[in-house]
Amino acid sequence: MTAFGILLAMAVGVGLMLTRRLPTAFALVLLSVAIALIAGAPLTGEEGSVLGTVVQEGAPRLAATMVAILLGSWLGTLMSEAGIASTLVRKIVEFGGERPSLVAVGVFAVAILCGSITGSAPAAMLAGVVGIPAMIAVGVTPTVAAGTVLVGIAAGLPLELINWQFLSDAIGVPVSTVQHFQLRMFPIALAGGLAYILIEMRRKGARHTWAVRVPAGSGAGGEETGDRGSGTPPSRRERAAERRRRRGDAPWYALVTPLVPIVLALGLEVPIVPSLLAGVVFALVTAVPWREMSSTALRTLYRSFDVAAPPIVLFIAIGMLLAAVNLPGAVSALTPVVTAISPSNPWLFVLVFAVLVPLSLYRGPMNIFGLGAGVAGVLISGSIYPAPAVLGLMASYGQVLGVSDPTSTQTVWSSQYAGVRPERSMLSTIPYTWVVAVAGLVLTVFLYLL
Amino acid sequence: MSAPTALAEQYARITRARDEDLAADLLALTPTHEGRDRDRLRAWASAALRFGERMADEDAGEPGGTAAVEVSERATGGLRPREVLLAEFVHRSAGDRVVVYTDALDYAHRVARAAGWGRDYTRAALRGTALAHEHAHRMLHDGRGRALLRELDHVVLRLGPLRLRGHVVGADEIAAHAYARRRAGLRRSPVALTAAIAATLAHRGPEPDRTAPRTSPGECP
Repeated sequence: MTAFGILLAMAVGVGLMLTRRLPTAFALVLLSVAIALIAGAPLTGEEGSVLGTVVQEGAPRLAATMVAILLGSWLGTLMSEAGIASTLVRKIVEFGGERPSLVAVGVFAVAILCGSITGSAPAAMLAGVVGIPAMIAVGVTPTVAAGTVLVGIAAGLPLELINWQFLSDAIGVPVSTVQHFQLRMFPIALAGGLAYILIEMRRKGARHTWAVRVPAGSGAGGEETGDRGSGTPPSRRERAAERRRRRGDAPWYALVTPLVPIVLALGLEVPIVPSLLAGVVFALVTAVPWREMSSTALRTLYRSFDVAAPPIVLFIAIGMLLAAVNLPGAVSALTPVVTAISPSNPWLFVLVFAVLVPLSLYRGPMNIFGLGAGVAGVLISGSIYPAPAVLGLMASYGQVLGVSDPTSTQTVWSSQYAGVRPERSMLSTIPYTWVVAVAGLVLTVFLYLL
Repeated sequence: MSAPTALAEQYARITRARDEDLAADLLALTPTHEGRDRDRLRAWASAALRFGERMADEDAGEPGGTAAVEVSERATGGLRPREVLLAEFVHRSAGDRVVVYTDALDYAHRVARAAGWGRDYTRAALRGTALAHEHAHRMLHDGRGRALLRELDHVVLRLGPLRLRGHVVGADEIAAHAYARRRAGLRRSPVALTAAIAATLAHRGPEPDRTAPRTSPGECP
């Protein structure tokens, strides 16, 4: 009965998120409280209570991830303002502009670097603000241009230090275990992304248009916005663009900035936070003039709070959800149900979870940045699969939802910036991300279930 | 200043402007050219215009320029929320295709009339210009692009005597406009029409009279 109540609450939670009646973070907080109450947790108290365990202890549960997100956002903001990502894209277009496929592969590489630094929409913007219109200008179709940035960010995801920290905190495995799996997942995501670009470029062909777009910065539609009046102060984004314009291209040695945290974390085994901080310092020293360094550092740090706020709020809610599904009452109620439907045969594991891939879309129950975190918690606390196998499952699903979910912020931003509907991006990319996810499940079986 | 007056002044400015200045303006709005030196953009614009005209002269013997291409017209799909799409050329291994959007051509005709160029840009002239523009893209795609690179001479890498010329985003568009103007025998350049449409979009959006059908952005390939 308790299990039925919890599953019903989860279904209502998914419904609220799907129909956008509540933002995901708010829905997850309500769901956490509901699960705790249904599981018989007392409202207050030291051990296993709604307010003490779920709300108070759950909220900062992913604190290490939140700090990593803030630092990653800072580095991303700095890379944007210093023109590091846009310089990379400009060089790629200059060298390969005659061949749209080559430009797309180049932007894909930039997106991998951006995706390894920061996630979701900020990563998409970093690679796509210049990358998407540049690809379209050389003949890549808008759908493939948006998809290229998305598969690039997803291919960078296995190398993203923030993601390592999140999976480690959420699933309860050491960072080294996450690293072990993700480094093996990376070539799969890389191959899937390249396959998407090369096959879709061949299918869709090169497209050249006589088209006129609303000029950037103009709010067309009845307003007189063609020329900004001299009395109107420029927006923050325009001021940042102006600073970038004055500075011109970032120097060549600053272009390796995205590699600094990865090399430190992988090569020298430096922990995640100092690796990201080293990336920030490297970007400041190499791409910002000395006299502007401290003001730029402070300005970009403050701006990064805007960028980091949505994921941090989400991770506060996910922490509460994880605390709720790990309450003794919830574990004992859900374990028999989840055990009954979870395949024990390794190859059935691949088959069943391959079929369930669409459940990670539209904020579905297998989305690790939502209810999926709770599902992962149940799978681990009920000892249904070893924790590393759950990590493999969720990281494989992460490849699908990071690219194809039309409700993911990066998918929405990239698609709309390219002038296509997010659902169109989903249809274009999902055959490839599905295959990548299945390959990830097979990898999980070989590494942890055989 | 009221919106119609400001727009009329924009049209007047575009009418007075030289092609290479308007083309340089177009390049300046093209991604990867943010912050580029104005003289350099003007030089590229000038080279691309010359190249397009020469391409038209060399191609003068050819008939309509759309042989072996599937040409189709669509009544809707050209007016999008933040974009006016007049025509597109798609190169695929299965065969090349040109699509002309008549709703967008109608929009362009209304803009041309408002700017005082209605006689230059009749609907038939606009269609011919759009087809010629896309044919130029086809030619550039099929090999003339290398010659355009040489004409622009944008050196991105020097290794002793070796020089690697870089791609200039948007230069093919300028060349295609120049080609279409020469081929369609237009008095006023499509570059000017493009600038006028951009000015109109900035002031009013893609629905100047709120009657044209709209297409959702999901129609993009």
